[in-house]
Amino acid sequence: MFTPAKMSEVDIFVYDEQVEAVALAIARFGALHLAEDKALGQWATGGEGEWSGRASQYANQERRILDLMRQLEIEPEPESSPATIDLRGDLTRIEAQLNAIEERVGALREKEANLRRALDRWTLIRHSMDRLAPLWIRLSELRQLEHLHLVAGTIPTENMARLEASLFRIPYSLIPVHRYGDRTLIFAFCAQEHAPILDRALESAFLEPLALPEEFSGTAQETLEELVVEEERDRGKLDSVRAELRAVARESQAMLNEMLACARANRIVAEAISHFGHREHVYLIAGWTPTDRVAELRAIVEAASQGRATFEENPPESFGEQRRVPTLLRNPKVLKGVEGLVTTYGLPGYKEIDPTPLVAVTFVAMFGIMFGDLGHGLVLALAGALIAFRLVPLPMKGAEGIGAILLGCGLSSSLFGVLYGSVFGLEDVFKGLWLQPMNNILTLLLSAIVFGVVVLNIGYACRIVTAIRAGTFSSAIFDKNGITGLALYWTVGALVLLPVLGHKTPGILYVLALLLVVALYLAEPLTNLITGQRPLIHGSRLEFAVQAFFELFETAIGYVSNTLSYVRLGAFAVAHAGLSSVVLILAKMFSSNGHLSAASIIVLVFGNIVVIGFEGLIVGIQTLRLEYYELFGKFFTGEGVPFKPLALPDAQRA
Amino acid sequence: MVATGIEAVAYAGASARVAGLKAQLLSSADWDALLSADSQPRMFDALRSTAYARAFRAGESSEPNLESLERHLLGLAADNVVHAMSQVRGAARNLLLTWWAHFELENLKAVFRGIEQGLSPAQMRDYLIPLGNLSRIDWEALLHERSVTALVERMAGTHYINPLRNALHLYARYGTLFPLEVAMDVRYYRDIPAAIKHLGAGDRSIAIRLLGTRLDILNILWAFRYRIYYQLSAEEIINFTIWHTVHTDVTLIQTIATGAPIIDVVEQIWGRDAIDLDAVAQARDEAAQLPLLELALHRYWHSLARRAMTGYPFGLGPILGYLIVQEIEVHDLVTAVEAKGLGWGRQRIAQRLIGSAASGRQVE
Repeated sequence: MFTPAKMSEVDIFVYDEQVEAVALAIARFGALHLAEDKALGQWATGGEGEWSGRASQYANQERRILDLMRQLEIEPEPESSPATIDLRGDLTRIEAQLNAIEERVGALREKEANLRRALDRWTLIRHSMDRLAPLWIRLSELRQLEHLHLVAGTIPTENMARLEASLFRIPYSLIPVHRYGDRTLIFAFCAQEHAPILDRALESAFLEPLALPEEFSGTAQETLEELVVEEERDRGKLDSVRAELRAVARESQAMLNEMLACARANRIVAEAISHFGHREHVYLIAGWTPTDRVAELRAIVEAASQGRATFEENPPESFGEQRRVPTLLRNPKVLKGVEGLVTTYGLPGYKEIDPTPLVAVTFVAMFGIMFGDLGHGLVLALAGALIAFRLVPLPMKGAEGIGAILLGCGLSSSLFGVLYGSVFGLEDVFKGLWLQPMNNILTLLLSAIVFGVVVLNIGYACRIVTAIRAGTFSSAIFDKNGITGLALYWTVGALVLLPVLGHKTPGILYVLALLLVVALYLAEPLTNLITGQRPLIHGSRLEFAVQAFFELFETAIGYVSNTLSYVRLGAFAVAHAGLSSVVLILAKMFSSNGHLSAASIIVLVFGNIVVIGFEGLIVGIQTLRLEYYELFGKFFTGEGVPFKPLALPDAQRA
Repeated sequence: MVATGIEAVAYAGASARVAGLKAQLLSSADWDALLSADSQPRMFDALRSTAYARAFRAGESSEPNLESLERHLLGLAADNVVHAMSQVRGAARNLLLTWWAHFELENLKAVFRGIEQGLSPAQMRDYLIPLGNLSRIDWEALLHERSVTALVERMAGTHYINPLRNALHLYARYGTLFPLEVAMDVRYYRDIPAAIKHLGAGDRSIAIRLLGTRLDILNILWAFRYRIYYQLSAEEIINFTIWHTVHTDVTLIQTIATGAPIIDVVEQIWGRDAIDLDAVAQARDEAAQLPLLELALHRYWHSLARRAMTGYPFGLGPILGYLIVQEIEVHDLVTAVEAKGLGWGRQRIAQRLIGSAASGRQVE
């Protein structure tokens, strides 16, 4: 909590013959974030070579297995990894097993496709015969037309107009018979001497000819009767092929899942090895692991390499400026939802403060202030509890976190509802412990500003701590959100508040304010002076003077606007009370002689749903806005690198 | 009608970016150095001192793999379209995305040819233009297919699947990829007019002038090629070309298909003076005229793009103009590199180039 997990940089040197075992052990351990290729210096291989080829082969097998599973309608089991893997041997074994299943499934799928095509063809012939039925003409006679050339077939419907335009050199007739999908069944006629032209045109319009089987020689009516038998026969065959496919699916389900897990694990490990450093006969595995897990990692590496690996741990202090250390946040499970809110904005850098606990408190408190109502809060809390404790089916992964936030916000709303004396918008059911928003607007708004001042000061404090952690002390002093900024904020605050409260303003305060303004104005050269950087001013002096002035101006405006921004806490509390009273007034209008009618109950229920859903959403957005812009802007850059360890799907994880 | 007000402001950033990118186009001094190089390796050295140095793989020797270099040069052109897309929004962005898809189409054709020739996935990868993460096609899955039929089925979920399925039986019958490639081309080039339709009036007009002209050129060249090189029938030519573009329609294609002379057709569309057809007129027969026509039409297209690139800055024109000029420059580079490899002289190479080096004009 409060800061990301402490990391250690480790360099592991292993011989060629042990690299597979060590890589596998590390992947099972699941707590080593590999260093980027460029950090390997002369050891870098650029991810090319034997191992990347092998990773690509395993990736291909993985894809083929998933394809097969999709074809056989097998749902892949939750990701797991096999007990052992053999990076070289598994490739051949999986290939052989995969080929056998693919061959079997491929043959059945081809049979299935042929039968489906045959059934489609019978359907098309049936439509053709329907059209010919009234003519009582024999099909054998149609095949032996002396002067007329007849073609039946299907073409893409979008090609019809172009086909007709292409037949500009000959007289012809096109009869659309039946449209299905994006194709149309047509009969095309022309004189026998123009047959080659018609055929070429039809072919280039992507016509698929519909050949009438030779055995059908009677009239269209007779053919229709014969078609029924053919269709039944093929449908029966199709059913049996599908049954066979289902049987294959049952037989191979376990094997496919095992192969998938094995190919995936092999691919992950092979990909990792392709990015290890390598020189002559030694691999360099460099990366970061949480400091409290270094000993475990050392033990598993030594076990996997039978004591032949060299393991070096570099203390965190030795990380250079350019080494980007990954960030691993370790917050209690209950704060995972809030952590999600933070990481949506950005991941804290390794040396930054993790604002998750702070957000957990301020978010819930600010939501409660704006949405203070015992009834509405309890409804929200109930909904949150149902989601957080998985008492209802969850629509998505990680919804529990949202449930926990909802539960916290609901309880906070209930607490402020008790303070405001409000339940479902009714303000006369019980007396509030503090004030009624509608009757004490000014007090509420001023209280909101005071709350904002507290939150902002926490933000400034976090900025100072972050700067100190990062070792940028000058920044902690001269930054507009650092010590100088904080001091100026309080000095100006005192200069404004003392006369308002009827106190005399000491002259020293003016001097102090002036000094702080000058310090902020000269922040860049002063910082450079302390850190020994030269020149003190980059660019021309005039440019610096203008830029510094506007920055100072922006800072001053920022102090006021950031503080006043929190007025919305009080404003929304008043708006909530107002909106709730509108619902009550509407319900009263529908009541009969002061008694609740069915219509007024509907208005009450519907109105409260709108208030909870619609206004709750707006208040949530406003709270998030205050967190992101007013608080995070003070100290949080969110440019951290996520800790992504080399890990098999079911690794222990950090 | 030109973009004004908010629309114009929205284009200001993009125009500024294009103005910066224009400086990366090859200058006449760059072209001079490239064409004057006494060998292909020297030409590579000259190319390494330009913005195209990125096309050479890190650590590659002075004689890179030509195929790979060409694909990486085209990859830079594709990258430029992606960067331009990030500068604009809405219908303009969609048009650029659609235009970018022609690189994807090139890759698809390369995969079909590779599978047809039995190349391994690793070999085929060398023929692909690097497209980054924008493509939604699972290229690795395509590369690992074992037959053209399976490859077609692998395209399920893309808008190419129906045209490919329609053309598949012709592939099965004749064993040539021609019908599949025609089906993909016709399908793809229908998307461009559809994307142009959604633009505002000012952008639509410039897009029609630039991309519409591209479609005109392609359709005419296809029709002549089918007639002159492949001796296809009139019916086949009509069915294998685009139904209608800005200046071409089925009547014009019928005219070409039934033997209209090349020069008559071009003059019918663009008049007598827009396109320099002297070289075409002097060629001995139609087969010799066709490559010269292609060059003349592309030079015309290039001149339109150059004009748009330096025209009214607050619209789509400069962006599209720059992208076309830059892509043509890449094609010219590919031509120059290959020609240098064949030992051609400076003058002979310059005659084959489309862009500024050929015409002796400077990109402003």
